[in-house]
Amino acid sequence: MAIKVMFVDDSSFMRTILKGIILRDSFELAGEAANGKEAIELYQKVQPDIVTMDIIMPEMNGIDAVKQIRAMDPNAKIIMVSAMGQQGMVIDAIQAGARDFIIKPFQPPRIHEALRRVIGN
Amino acid sequence: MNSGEYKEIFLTEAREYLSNLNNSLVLLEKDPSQVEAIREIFRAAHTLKGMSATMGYDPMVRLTHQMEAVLEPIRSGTQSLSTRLVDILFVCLDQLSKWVDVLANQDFIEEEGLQSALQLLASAGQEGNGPGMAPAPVPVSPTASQAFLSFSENEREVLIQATRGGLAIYKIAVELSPDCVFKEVRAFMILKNMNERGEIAKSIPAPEEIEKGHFSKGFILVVVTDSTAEQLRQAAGSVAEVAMAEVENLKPEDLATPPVTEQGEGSGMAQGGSKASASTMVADDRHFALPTIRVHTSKLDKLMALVQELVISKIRFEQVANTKALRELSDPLSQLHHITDELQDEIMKVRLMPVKQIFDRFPRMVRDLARNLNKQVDLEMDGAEVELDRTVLEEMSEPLVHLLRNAVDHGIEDPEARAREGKDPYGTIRLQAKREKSQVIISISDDGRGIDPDVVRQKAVDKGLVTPDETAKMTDEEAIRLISLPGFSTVDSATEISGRGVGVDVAKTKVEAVGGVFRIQSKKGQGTTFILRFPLTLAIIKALLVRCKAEVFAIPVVNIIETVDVTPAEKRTIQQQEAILLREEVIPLYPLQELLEMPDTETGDASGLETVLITEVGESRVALRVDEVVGQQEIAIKPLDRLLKGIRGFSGATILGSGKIALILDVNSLVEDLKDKRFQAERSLMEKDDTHADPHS
Repeated sequence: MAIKVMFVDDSSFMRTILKGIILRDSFELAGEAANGKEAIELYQKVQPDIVTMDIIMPEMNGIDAVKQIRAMDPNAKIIMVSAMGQQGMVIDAIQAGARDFIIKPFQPPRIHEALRRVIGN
Repeated sequence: MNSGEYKEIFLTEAREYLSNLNNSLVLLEKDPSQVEAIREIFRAAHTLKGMSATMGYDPMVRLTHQMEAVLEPIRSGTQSLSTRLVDILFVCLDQLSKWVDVLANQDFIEEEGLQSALQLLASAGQEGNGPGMAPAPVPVSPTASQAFLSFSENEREVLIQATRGGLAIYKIAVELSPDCVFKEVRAFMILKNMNERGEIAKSIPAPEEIEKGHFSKGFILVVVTDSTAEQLRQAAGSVAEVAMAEVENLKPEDLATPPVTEQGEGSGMAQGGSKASASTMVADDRHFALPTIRVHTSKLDKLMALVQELVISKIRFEQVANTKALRELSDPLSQLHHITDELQDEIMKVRLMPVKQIFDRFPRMVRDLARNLNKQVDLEMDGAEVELDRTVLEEMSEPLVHLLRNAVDHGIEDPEARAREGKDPYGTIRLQAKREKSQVIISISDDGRGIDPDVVRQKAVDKGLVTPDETAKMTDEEAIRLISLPGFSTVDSATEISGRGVGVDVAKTKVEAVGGVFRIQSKKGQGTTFILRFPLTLAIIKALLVRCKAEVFAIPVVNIIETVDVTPAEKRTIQQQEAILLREEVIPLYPLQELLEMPDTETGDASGLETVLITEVGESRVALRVDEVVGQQEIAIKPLDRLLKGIRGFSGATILGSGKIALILDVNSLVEDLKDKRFQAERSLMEKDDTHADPHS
């Protein structure tokens, strides 16, 4: 069965890079959002299996988006996309219910491992 | 880091450690082969160092560090403990205690006292094996990974409690992969997973250090949980970049392992290095995260006061329901009664503290006193775990200090004198606590010279406290009791008599002030025992309400053996003293109104029946005549105001269901006072009679 992935990032460049790494084998695109607000709407609509979520975004940041998505779906599987120096924010996101995190610059094997773990759990 | 909350915990624990240090050192001084004592000292000094370093109290760090350095060769057995070093260590402990006291009021300590203590230690070190004793570098702050887990008494207890509740304790050693980037986030995820499965009781390093990523490769958690080892391993292992997660089931006996033994070798102190291993056993106690909280005692006092108010309101409710015969209220009221009972019980329990809290200071005190007086004294303590109300405990401390001083000073003889008597040159003082129903009994006994009743008689006469005739009429027991009279002895005279004096009256007054009972037993040449009975709590007690004239008084039930109705036929008069005959025992009878000096109007009712309470005063029974027994109920004791405190005969007041105030009678002192008064009157009467030379008097 295909695994539907939703990408949330305000930079389409970053989304593209991530799609390039993730979307192969059994992973397929569920949808894309450019901020937290869009992400919440889209989540309800497409019901993805897994979400990659940037932290710093306009309109609504990734942490608040995690909180709201988890409120709607306690089983939501969200992986944070963070940059160096954002440890504190990642902890907040995990506290809010994110399952794991990946760090920019991306290392494809790490990302695959994170996905496997989150799906596996 | 100097936040108030941490400081409170620091101070409490530092005092505990200092008290342990003092006691272990006393032990060690007596028997230098006590390996466990030297380990305990080393451990406590080490923990204190780590604690002080965490708080940034530099002088304390430096002193404890140097103490450790000096102790190391003794612990490792390369050097023996000299008397001089013991003295120096005591000086150091006093200095540390002084700092702790200072820290109670301010957030920093001066270096004053540090240099002299360090020099003393240095001189002691050189005495031993010279060059090897160069001061070791002071480790800055504990950094841990391969630390040995040590548990405080408290932690151990809570953990063991948890296992009794069916929970298991696991030690989980986690290592992250070396290329892990967000160490703190991984650590946080692991902690989060563990917290979802149980409670993290302890960790190395502390949880806040772990969450900051302040560890090298990994960390150790102690988790209390109902999950299995495998579930925990998965919980830790499910987090990415975890290189290793080892789970080990800890049994209660594992917790008892003291840390020093295993990491003694190569701990680095003697070699001048301070490897992480030595400084990491710090694993200090504030990292303790089981669901316990510290509450300021003032809050407990407030809670207790509120429960007292609640009990009073409840009693008033009951009264109203009774007088108005409101039967619908009886169910809810009895429920309220149960709830307040239970609430009161629970709060009582929270307020209970082991007498250990005050006993712990005594070994050092007795040791110092004995040394000053060139005596040899062993202090044996028993029942330190007995618990009683904090307030009572606080009130108990001073009388015990007085009595112990007395025992060392006047009870125990010089070693030479003891040898002459054929006694062990080491005198023994036994301090014992035990619980008996709602009372705690503390006894202090020594095997010293005992009290010579004749010397006491003479002394009391010399002091003008009693007349020679009075003393002649006294039994030895009564004579011995004279030593607790205020003014019986002064500091200079106390040593002259072969007994006691100083402080005995103070101790007695203090004990009785909290509703306690004070007794003395002594045998000349064999020793003296002081027996102190304390109520378990001062807050709420069961009392009998009695009427005397128009007034209602409360008498604690513990003081009453029984109540009886006496017919005129059961009464006797023996030597002008009214008495009753109860089951063939003659018990002196005192009318309460006379004890209270209330005008005498009527006695007994028309039927001639008199209501009498049998109470125990000192070693004998006394019957008290009252007009009526109103009932039995629990009363909340309110201490008397400063102005009324000095009045003998009352131990407090309470508010009755009617809203009226009733005084709580202190039967002991009332009866004793009356006896004294009658005794005096009788003596003066007899002196007059003497002039008529009546041979039968």
